[in-house]
Amino acid sequence: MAFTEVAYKALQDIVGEENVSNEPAICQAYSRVQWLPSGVMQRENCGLNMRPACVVMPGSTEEVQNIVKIANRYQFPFIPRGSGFTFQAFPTAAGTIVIDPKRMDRIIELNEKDMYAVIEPYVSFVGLQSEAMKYGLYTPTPLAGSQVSCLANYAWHGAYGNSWITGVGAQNLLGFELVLPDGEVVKSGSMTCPGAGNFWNDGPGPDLRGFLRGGMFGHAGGIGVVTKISCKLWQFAGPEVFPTEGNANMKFSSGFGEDVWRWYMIKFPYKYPEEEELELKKSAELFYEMGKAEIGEVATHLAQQFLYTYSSVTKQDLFDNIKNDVFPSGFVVVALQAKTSFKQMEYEEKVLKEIVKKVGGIFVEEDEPAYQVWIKRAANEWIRFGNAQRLARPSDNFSIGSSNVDSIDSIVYEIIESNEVGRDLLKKEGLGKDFVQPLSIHGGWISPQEYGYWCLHTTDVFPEQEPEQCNQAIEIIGKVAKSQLERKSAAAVIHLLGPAYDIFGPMLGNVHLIMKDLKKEFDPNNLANPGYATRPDVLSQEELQKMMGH
Amino acid sequence: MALEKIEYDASHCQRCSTCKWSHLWEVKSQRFVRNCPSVWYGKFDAYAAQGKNDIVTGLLRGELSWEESKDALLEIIYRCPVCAACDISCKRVMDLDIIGVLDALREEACEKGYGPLPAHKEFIQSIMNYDNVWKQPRTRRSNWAKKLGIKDLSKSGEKADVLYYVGCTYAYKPGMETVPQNTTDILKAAGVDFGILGAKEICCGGIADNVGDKKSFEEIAQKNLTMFAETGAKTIVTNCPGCFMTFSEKYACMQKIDTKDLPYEVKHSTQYIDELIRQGKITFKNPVNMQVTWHDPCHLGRRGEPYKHWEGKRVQFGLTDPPREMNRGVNGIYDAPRNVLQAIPGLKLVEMERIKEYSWCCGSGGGAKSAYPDFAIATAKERVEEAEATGAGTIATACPWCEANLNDGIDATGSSMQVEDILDLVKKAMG
Repeated sequence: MAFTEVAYKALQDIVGEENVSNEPAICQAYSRVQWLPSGVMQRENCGLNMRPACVVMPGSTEEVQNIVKIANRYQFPFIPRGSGFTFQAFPTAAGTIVIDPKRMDRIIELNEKDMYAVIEPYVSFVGLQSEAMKYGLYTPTPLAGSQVSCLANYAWHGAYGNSWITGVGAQNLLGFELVLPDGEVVKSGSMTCPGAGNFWNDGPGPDLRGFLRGGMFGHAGGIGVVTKISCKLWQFAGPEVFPTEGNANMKFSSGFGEDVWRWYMIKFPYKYPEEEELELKKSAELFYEMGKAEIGEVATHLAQQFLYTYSSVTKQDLFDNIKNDVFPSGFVVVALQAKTSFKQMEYEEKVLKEIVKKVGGIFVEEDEPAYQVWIKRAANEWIRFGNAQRLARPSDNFSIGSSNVDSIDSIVYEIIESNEVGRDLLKKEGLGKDFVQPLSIHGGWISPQEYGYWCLHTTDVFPEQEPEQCNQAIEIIGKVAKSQLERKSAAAVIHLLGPAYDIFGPMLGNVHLIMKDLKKEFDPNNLANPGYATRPDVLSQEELQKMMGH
Repeated sequence: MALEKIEYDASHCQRCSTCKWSHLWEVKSQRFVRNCPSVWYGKFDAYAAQGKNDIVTGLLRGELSWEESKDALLEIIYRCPVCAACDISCKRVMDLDIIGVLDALREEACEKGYGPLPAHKEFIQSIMNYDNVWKQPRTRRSNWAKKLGIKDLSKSGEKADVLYYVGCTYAYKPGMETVPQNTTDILKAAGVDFGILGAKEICCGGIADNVGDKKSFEEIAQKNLTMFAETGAKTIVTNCPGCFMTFSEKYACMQKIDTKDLPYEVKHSTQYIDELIRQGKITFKNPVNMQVTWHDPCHLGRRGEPYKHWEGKRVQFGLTDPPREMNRGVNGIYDAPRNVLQAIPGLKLVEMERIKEYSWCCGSGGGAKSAYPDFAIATAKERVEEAEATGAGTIATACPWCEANLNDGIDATGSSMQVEDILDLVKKAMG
């Protein structure tokens, strides 16, 4: 059933006339996911009109419930949103409405003792972190940037600059309140027990975090609306206010103070890219040793593409740095924090030095261009800024080329293999020949999680925002993912549209069927973001299979 | 047509929402985390730069038309002070001309005959009829200067090193005449050879450009450029940040030259007085025992950067040919007023959370005050609350529009704060 005037009036009654709009100009602002190749494809190739029928802004859980009940009564689809920097939460069906949570922006509780916060959907990471810092605590910052919704990113299972200690979003969720697609409210973790506090995700009560599973084989808002979460806060040695000086836009130094925080860049004596394999294997060894010693606040491997983009002041600066070979290879980046005492950090530094020596690494010296550009400009970005969308700076568009979740060793293996497939595609089929190079062929953000207990990686490609290049990017994603699955690798195909679920699901324990069953059970009318995971009407399965060489 | 100039910039918005938040490095609390008055007040994404980019893209690609949503479009376009906070935040991550998008939308509205809004037309018509925005007779323009014995450079044979341009609001607005009078006293005390244009001074025309009426703006600008040339003055000093930006940035842009290539140098009075203090030409006798917080006017700060003309195109990867150096807010006038305040004995300067290029706008600019007074006052209230949080009793600023609107914000909140022009404080200290 289409979205009707009667349904619109019902929404007005729930949230007030000023908080709902069906004006075309207002709704147009919710109609694009232009920055992804898939979004470009939808718009350019499919001519899909993604403008929602209306946008509604609830102010409370009760209002969300009522909106969802109205959706069921009048049978129109709805899509919940966070801050709007989204892969999947956009209309793909006529008559869809968008639920914008801007009026739900409260930090409900910040518990210093038990180190958690309870927040609503429109609290950004930066807002929460700035408040947490006043209590010697902080949040991780997602690479998407600290401007994004904390709740949405955790539900999506984002990854962070300091995932070495924090893990991904799922590990930071301590509980949530979810309005199911039929309007019923469920809670998870200790949130289920009134008076128990909001500090524990494993009970009492069921742990329903698997419900959310946003980015990787999840429903992307397809199983209701998260209206509240409790999330972890992490120890922070200070200061209480993020320190900056002068004009922020061009000055990158934030000066935490050597007494609380220290950054290191580590390289290996191998020729790049010819000996990339050795470099990555040594990096893995370094991470394992650090994990065994349980040291460090940040430990990650950044390929050239991440180093150049994150540290760029302008687009021209980025290309100048590439030309000047500022980052001749990928590097390991480590940070130590004096969480408990200065002595503790000094101890960790000694251990780190021993480990680096043992694995044959070399600390990058302060006078090296890489140190000047990364450590001096960008390192603290990991703690506060994330990336926002600087990753797209090379071509004003980008796409994850490959992505995996596995052990560190397996990840290193996968990067090497995936890069090889990518280079082959470039050499033999010319795929990516017009992308920003060499950034698009030497990938690999290796992000060990929770002291190296597990690991994820992404490699990115930089097509321009036009159909031919975007088609190529999707083809590369598909073919690299296919090669990963043929190697029995745990590919995480997070950028593909609906058809990916059906194609890759059987190779991943039929997880897609489990998700579809869940969806069917909890959303019998198929109204919560119906277009994304289950109904691939944007890019057909046939098209995708052809691209992947099936 | 106006939109085509910025198609690349609008259509390459990444939707990351950085434009909606204060500079991420500089955020100090959840309370003052936002930067954009327009989306803060209007809430829907359409009011943010991101939404305006979507709208431009939609208009250019035929997904949206003026006819289907004209009134909403006009409100989205004009209920915005064009303060450029969004532009500055965006440029931390991307290289898109966001302020160009906002300007182009206004120009497009005017080209279509839908803009500017009636309240703006009144201002522009007033300039055309009376050479000022306040519908006042030309003959009263220099009433503030009576008996002050200032050279009138519009008269033949009168010459001076410095042209002191007063501006419509300081010249006519009751209660604000103290600012040009105090400026006169300060310049005289420092031994500066200066003059004014007397009753011949005409509006800078900035308001016409701000609301997209390029034709009227160019007409006004040409008159001013001719008059400036006739005075032979090489330096223009002005109190009003709107006039300052118009003379230094907009006149350069109109002539397709860099600010540095203008035949004159424009200085805001705080810059000029800062120099005079450092040269020892101004000394202070009286302590001013006040705790003061400084409100950065947008047109002096992030929008006060020298204009760097660029004509070219986007080439591979979105690089520009020839390379374009974009303004990123870092070269605005931030230090001069702070230096002046800190030089005043007894005065304690305390900063708000959002300052300099990531300052919160007062809400008055871009024609917002005249067309959407409720929005402007709500925005000012937010600034007053931020000022109160510093513990200061006084907001110092250097813009007649900010001063008036912040006062309205104070009235609306019932706050006990005062707003003072920085030059009034300087005069108090000089005695």
